[in-house]
Amino acid sequence: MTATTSKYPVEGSSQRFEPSWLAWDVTRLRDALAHAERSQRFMGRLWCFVRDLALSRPAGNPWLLPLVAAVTQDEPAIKHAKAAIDCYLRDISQRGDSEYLFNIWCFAFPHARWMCWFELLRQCGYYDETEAQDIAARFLLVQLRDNYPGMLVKPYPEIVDNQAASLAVSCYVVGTLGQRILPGSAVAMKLRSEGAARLEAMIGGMPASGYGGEGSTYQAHVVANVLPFLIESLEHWRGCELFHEPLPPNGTTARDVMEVTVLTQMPGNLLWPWDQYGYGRGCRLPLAYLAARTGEARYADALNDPARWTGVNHDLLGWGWDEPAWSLVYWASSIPTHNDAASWQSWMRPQTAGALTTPDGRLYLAQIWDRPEPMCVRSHVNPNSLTLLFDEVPLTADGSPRSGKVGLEFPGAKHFRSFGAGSSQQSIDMSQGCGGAHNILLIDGDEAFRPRSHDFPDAMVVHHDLQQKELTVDVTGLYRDVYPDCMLMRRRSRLVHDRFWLVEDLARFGSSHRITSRWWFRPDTHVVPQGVEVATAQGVRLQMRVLLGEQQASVRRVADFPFEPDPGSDCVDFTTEGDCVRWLYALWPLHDRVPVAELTQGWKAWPIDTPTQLPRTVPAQVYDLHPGLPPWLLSHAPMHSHWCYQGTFARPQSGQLFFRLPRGLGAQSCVWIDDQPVNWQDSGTSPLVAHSILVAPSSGNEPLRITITQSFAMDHHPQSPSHILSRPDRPAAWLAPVAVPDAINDVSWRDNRVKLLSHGGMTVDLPWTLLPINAEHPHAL
Amino acid sequence: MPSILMHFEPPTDNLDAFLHIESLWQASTTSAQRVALLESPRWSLQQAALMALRDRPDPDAVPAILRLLRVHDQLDLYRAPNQRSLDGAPSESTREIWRCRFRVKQAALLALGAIGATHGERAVGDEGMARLHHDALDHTQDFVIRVAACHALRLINSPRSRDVLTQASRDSERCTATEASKGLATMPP
Repeated sequence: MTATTSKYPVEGSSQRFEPSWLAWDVTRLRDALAHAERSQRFMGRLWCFVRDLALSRPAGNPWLLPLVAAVTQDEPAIKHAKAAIDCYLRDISQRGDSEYLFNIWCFAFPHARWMCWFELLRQCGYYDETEAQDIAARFLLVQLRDNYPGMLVKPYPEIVDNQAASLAVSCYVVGTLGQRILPGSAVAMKLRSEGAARLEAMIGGMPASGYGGEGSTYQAHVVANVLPFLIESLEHWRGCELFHEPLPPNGTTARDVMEVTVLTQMPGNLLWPWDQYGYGRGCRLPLAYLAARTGEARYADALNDPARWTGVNHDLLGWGWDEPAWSLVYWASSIPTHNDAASWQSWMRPQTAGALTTPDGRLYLAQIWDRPEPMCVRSHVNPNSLTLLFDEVPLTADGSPRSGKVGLEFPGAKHFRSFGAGSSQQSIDMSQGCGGAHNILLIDGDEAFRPRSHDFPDAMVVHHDLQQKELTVDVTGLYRDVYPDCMLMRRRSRLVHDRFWLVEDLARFGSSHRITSRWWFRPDTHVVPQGVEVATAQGVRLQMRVLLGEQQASVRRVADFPFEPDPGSDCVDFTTEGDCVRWLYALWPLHDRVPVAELTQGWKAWPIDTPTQLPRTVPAQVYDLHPGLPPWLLSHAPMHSHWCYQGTFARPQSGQLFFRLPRGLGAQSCVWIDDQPVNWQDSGTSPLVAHSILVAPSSGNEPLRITITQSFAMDHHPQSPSHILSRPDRPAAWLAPVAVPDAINDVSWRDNRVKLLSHGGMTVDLPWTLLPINAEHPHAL
Repeated sequence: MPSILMHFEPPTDNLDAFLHIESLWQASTTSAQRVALLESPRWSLQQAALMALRDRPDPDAVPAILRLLRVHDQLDLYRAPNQRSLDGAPSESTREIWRCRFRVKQAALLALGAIGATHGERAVGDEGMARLHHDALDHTQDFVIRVAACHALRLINSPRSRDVLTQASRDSERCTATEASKGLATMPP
């Protein structure tokens, strides 16, 4: 357990605050990381990985070098770190291409972070004064020429988004550090003061929930990375603690922003598919920062899940590759952890979203009702859309089409625009952002459903009970913006006895409409009496039963939408007509096969040169590592791109058996069973889910020799897209079919009660009064 | 076209270059010295001088700013290939013009806005206002030109700009539309 205490002022404290990036406490950082390494805690393992990677491959990991150089004081590392900064400045000073100029915020925030790393090295004494002034001048020249003008064309304080925030922070940070190194510089002072003027609005101008409205990927991968610099800049400018302080105009706190970011990370380190990026990966910095600023151990505990770190050196976050370094800086500043098992809690943020989950995260439902925009490229139209997860396996489908494929094309969803002179008009197909691409009610077949105006009423939480795990949300305002006679549109979701979900919809109009209850499920979905069943390749099934409303489903395979976890999805529609329409669904997830043994022991691993060939010999030097995590997160292991894992395992039982590969296996990984190649890619290669191989049946328990190769991205700029390189985060396992799956035997709604009987013996008799038909929308006609 | 623009020179970023630019904000530097830099062969110095003029608005600079804008109108600013290296430039001078792109024009429009805000619409003059009105709606240039023009018009706050800002407020680019809407909201009747 670390002996350090937080360097951050606590809530309500008047303690003056000096940001890390201004007043690096190098001694403290060295002590904390050295202590972590000695203690064999996960932070130490991670630090050793970051250090060894940077030292062994400096050219491929420039973003990690300054921290490693400062902490290790290693002479070659110092030389490489200084060269990395010089190389960065030489490159950026020559940029003027349209990618750079039209996306200047993507470069402004990294520019500020590079200057912070420069300041760390300067404070370590690695630059003489003249050299430091020259470097600072080069940072300031780029800032004044490119990033500062970029900020000036962001209307202030109206525009609050990742772009405006990045530009404001960049001006403040570069100006502040510039002033420190070149005292009296009018340019540095100007950058600092003009950046400072915008800081508050970039936090306080966000919606009060802390969710910026740009989707979960931008929230986690950009906004949450900018936030520590935003709030620390503001605290530095004002000279007081503001992390917990509601800021105008919306009363949003910096803590709100970080917490909602953490909340949208689901079990299995999956991000909500809340934008065109679909299911993404979670990130570490929000947790590390919350651990440092709140002192709450649950945040630091969550960082001990190695699954969060498997992409540590090739996750592009905040448009750079230094998120692991900043996470380590803040994690090292946090209070000691308890090592408690992570506990999942249901939550709700008014006007945004909520989640209903079991404490172990096994069943997880997300319901979304945030405010969409007519241009629904990133801010999707998903009024009360649901995402369902069972044992870390997504059941619902969302995301974007496979590259180069259309996937979805709703009539009327195209938008044309041109930002740059001389560039051809850009055609944007917003179909994946429209209502038709989400699990909602559609009116008169209008799949391109999106708001017509900007001033419709917000969604409203009518009822919520997080103890009962129930949410009822009214989204009439959005529907009425498009369909003026919409009188009521509500969805109520409940997680019942931590075992299944009930979902009720109510739609009421002034006249009759054709109303479709649309669902996007993962393949394979097929129609059954009273509803549909979804059978995923992972052996997880979802039984959907219609207890009230139109039961006849149509199922349509959409081949290229989304591109993962499967190359496609099944679009399920229940359609009926009327002026008042209801559905009540029971959604019951179950396993058709379950793990009978996780294989974390008995493997031998060694570096290889050719991952596509079965190694014929085992070298003398092998490591006791299993293929369920990158080698460096398990033990001290050499920095090598390609690894082979081999083990001989007895069948745990006779009969049909599946071998579950580690989740996160790269598409180029090869698998052999008893030296025979296995074409495991047939079942898909998405690293978001674990793929299984059906092993040839046997009546005996004879052992099988399993060989797996994996390739890891060792550099920031891997030649191949990172998603096809291995980032395993769950162990291999034997799976066996469940003899009698715990499926629904009978379920019904009658006399205001839901009654359910399962094959596993579960009996439910639950009072369920339907949503009142005469309820008035809060913004009544 | 003035000959100075035929030999754009790439900048050398170092402490001396910075101190040269820094001097533009010093009280000891005269407005005439800033204006003189608008004829520098380096676009980055033109841009810096314009930014300094934005902070220290001088009506006497308007003719030079408008002249510089006309010069940049003649340059091949927007035909750069969409690639990082800007390969394909026939000369280093052209490559430097492509790197410049909208940067000087944007700074010039913002400087006009600051001069108008401080010294009134008359200081910008009819030609200056016409230029801003044109650029606020010009979709043949990069969008930041429209934003900068609307920003300038908002600062100048002239009822003469009402029709232009009304049209710009419907621009599909939201920064342009926001600046224009803000301008309309504060415009005197």
